[in-house]
Amino acid sequence: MTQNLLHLLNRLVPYPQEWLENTKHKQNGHPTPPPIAALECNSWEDLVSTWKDAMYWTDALDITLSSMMAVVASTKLQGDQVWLRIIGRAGTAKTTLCEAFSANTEYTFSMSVQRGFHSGDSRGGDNSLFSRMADKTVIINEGDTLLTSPTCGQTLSEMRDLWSGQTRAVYRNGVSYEYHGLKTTFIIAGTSTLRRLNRSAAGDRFLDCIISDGDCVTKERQLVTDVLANSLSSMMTESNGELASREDPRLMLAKQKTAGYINYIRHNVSVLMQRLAANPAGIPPTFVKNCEAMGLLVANMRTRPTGGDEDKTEKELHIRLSKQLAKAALCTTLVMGKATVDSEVMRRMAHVAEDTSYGNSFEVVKALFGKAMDVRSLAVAIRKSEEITRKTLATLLELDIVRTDQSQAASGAQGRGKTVYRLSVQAQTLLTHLRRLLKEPTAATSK
Amino acid sequence: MPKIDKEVPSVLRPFLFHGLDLRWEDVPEAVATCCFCDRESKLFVNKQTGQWNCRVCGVHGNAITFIRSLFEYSSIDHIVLEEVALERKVSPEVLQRWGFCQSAIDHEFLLPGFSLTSTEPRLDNLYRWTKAKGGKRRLYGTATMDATLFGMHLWDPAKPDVYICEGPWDAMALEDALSKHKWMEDGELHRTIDPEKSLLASCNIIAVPGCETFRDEWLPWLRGKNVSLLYDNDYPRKNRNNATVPPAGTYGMKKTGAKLHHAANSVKVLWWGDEGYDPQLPDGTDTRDMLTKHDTEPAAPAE
Repeated sequence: MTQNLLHLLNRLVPYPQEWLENTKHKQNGHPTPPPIAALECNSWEDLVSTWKDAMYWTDALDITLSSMMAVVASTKLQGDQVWLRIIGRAGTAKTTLCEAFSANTEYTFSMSVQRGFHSGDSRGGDNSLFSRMADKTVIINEGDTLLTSPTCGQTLSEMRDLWSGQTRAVYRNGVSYEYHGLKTTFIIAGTSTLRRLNRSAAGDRFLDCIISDGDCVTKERQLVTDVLANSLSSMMTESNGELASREDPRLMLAKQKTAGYINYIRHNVSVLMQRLAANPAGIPPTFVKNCEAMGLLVANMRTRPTGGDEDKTEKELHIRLSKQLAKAALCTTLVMGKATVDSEVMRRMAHVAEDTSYGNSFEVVKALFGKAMDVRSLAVAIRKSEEITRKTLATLLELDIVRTDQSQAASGAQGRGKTVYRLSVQAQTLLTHLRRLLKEPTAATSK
Repeated sequence: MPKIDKEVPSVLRPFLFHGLDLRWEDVPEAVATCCFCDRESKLFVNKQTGQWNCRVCGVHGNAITFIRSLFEYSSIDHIVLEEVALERKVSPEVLQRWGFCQSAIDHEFLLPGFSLTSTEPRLDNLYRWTKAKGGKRRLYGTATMDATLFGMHLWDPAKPDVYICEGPWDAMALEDALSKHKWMEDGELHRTIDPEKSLLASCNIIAVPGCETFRDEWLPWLRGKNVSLLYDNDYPRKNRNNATVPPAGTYGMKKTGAKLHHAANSVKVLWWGDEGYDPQLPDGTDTRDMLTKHDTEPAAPAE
């Protein structure tokens, strides 16, 4: 037996590299390119500098990358889950970032076609995606298609179910399957149509990150020029199907390092979290207050009128949002390799809170900051019709975010003064808080 | 293996697969003799949900809990164990360690399979080692249940090396061999009787049910391990279109290795030759064959 065992052990050889390169998963007879292999990357600065080499890098992209990485890091942590929506116009590198994250197949699960997560009880077996999604971040990089999918409602209700970590499918043939303790986070990227994922459709589970909205025209032009210049060389190279020739090598490297950094973060998240908790200066005393303020602001801003005249506008409780923002902030700290939740981390969180608050209500609140305005001038300021402005103001009045006042009639004018709107003291304080966080020194990066 | 009618509701298939004398037609609930207390017509199975319970001994649950209870109630006769061990060329102790037993229902041989949650392995399948058409015994997983790993109940997270075999028999033979050998300082392989010093002390041995089966959820358990894949020496075959299908064992190692590449610390494969198979060895030669061939060599004295 000794010789046989020796003979067997001698036959063991390292996994041949060429096997890895030639592995093609045949689907419908069409070979798909090999997966992107992760490259070791243990430093946030290294990762960001690789991205800067690969494409025009803006502060919004930097914040998006750190937020996405924070979502991945938070996947197995206890407490409310952090789900992220990435919203940007076409061509703002949403898909590129999502592809980079999808390159790590161990900790992310990329979905392009959404037909729900439960499989149905075909052939008596359960082939649902939950077991494949467990402990991973699900990346849906064309989220717009989710909204046009005929099974959109079903997918979203299953997502809502997943939030609690348990889901069950009961089929009409009497078969049922239950899943408990699922830890799955979601990143959905898409254009602004994604905002139609409103409260009743799982939208309130997500924090938002907006790429490139608000960039000035000069920057936009610069972006286009740079992207075009960078892509010229790759336009002239034909792909032979191999990994190296698939796309711009710099972009490929950035994707590989992103996959490698995900490995690093997921392996070390517990250790890094313990280190942060053990550091007396790790979490500043103002942290909880800041997160609560941001949560409260977002909860107020996301409130939409609930319909009929008798309905009272329902505001979501801000506790979940505050918890999500706090968890995201802690994870962003780890992701950025920081020892403390510093002002830069909070600035990023304030951006996320601002992006999540996006909407008419927030536009009105921003316009009214430190001012009193009547409906007409407010409508002009936020570039909406007077009707929409009035409806928004009605909701904000109901939520005590704005209050009305009478302006004094101009000298010589007859009749009453005009009704003007101001922010309530609480709203004024919350917005001041957010602005202060946003104004912290930036690490804005560009090529 | 009990033949299951295609018309049977799928929730009843696991019970019938394990030989329960289930009567399900023209009755509101399927009924059988309880295999745990032997009371006739006392075990009821809901035809819609698959929930079952015994009205006498009170054991109840779903299909998974049924196979877990069945495994718990099953045992094996010592003489039968010796016979099987002799036939399979593995030691009876190893067979027992791997949970090999005879069904409490019809005395067919059973082997437990484990699925992996994030915290612990769970018995989620019970394989029957039963005679197939040609009279040769084969392992069949419980109807409607997912493929699972063998040997995960013996898993020790502290061990750095993992051997993954194609099928539990290979894994048992390998465990038998590794538990009796150790490396000497001069790089020689010697026999030992001390399991603490044997090669087994630093490795886990598990088995996949087939060379093409490897589920993504098993990956986290293999993170950072030195994994060796020991699949069979299969010859290439022709499919129905007369196209050549690559050697199944090597193809399986290639696919599994690609998945493990990012998770494991290192991946090794059993090299059967440049073409993916060794024509000098018979088709289907496996780890157990390799370890037990010409097993007439005089055993070196154990140290």
